[in-house]
Amino acid sequence: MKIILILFLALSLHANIKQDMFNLYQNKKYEKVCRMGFDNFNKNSRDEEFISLYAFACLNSDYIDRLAIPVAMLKFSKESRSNSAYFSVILMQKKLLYHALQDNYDLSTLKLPTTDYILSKVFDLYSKLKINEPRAFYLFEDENDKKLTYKLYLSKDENVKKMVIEEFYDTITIKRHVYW
Amino acid sequence: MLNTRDLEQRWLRYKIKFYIPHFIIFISIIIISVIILTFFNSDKKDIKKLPEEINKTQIETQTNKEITIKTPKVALIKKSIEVKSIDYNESLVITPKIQEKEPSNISNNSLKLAPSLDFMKNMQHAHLPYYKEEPIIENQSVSAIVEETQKPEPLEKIQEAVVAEEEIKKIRIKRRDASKDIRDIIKRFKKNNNPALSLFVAKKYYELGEYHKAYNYALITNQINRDIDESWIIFTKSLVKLKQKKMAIKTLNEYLKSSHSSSAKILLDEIISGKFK
Repeated sequence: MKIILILFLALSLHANIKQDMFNLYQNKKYEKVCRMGFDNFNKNSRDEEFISLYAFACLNSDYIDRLAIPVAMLKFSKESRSNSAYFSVILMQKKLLYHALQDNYDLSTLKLPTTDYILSKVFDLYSKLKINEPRAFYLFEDENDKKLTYKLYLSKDENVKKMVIEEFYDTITIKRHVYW
Repeated sequence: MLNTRDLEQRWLRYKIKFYIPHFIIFISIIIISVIILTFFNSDKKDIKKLPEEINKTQIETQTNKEITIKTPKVALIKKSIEVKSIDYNESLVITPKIQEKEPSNISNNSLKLAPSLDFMKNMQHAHLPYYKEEPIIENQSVSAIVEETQKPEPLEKIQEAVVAEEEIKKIRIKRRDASKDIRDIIKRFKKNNNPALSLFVAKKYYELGEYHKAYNYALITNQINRDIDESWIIFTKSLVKLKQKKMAIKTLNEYLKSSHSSSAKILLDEIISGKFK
């Protein structure tokens, strides 16, 4: 009887993970939600709501590479497919921008969909530049708000070069995104 | 004299009866564990199958649509680089040669994808029925809190009432749908006094254009926790909407002295410049 009770308890805890993640997401603890989603992904891999929540949390905490599996898994509802396309565009733009910065790959001929995500904005601004000599950093002005600027550069880490996007509002740093 | 045979038989029956419940429990545990293990294993298999599926789809698209993507790590795609007929609208070909020929064509007409967050509404509704048992009228519950925390002067009330009436006329349909959710969240807030819930209510009221209520709930949130950035932002935004621009600027300035929040600074600039009305 004790074992059965323990089993029921384990099952109820399992059901609570999604709710806990949702509550944390509402409190903007995106990194924690992403980590929880990653740890419990196998148990909830058929739940598209769970996968979407996990993906949005990872997106908001700049873990872009973790979107690869949700992109492949989200396919059963119209909303999931829409989100899958949204994530895949961001993932592709990240990879292309990283490739362009490292290897001076020309993005000016590409015509890709865009999104409201910071990486897409910077990608669009960067792709408008033609092939040129690599610079130490790139400064872009937001098309809608002149006070908002984005600084794009590669930071040299020990093992891998990281792509950094800094958001400035009137010379004040708002946010720093690091991708690699 | 003792009948040993009969005693032995009785002893055997007793032993069998003694072990039957243990045996049943043991079998049921094995069945349950087998079911659980197969369930989790099937999930793992699905994930393991993913790369294979992705490769399959890559090959299929290669043969059907002639899509070539030049990436150094994918060996499969290298074969199909020699594509003769290219329809730029249908297939995207990323090769160095084409890059040289095609002019820069990044225009503002590019398609914009937006995330769909409707699933979160479903999740929210799924958690809320727990509080559906108590049918309390919204106005009563809200007015109790409003009386406690209301700060603006009576003169402002008249202005706010006029603003509120106008807003209600505009978004009547939306308000009916959201009011249930808000009512449930207010109940939850009353139970646990969580500032995240009162902030959510403040945000919802602000979205619905009920700035007076948004102001009140933002104020409650600030009283519980003074360090929530968004709460101050909703608070000042509501003040601006309630035609209390000076008070909003004063509040934000006071807040910025202690927090140095960038979003608060942005909002302050927007209010001063008249961008935010």
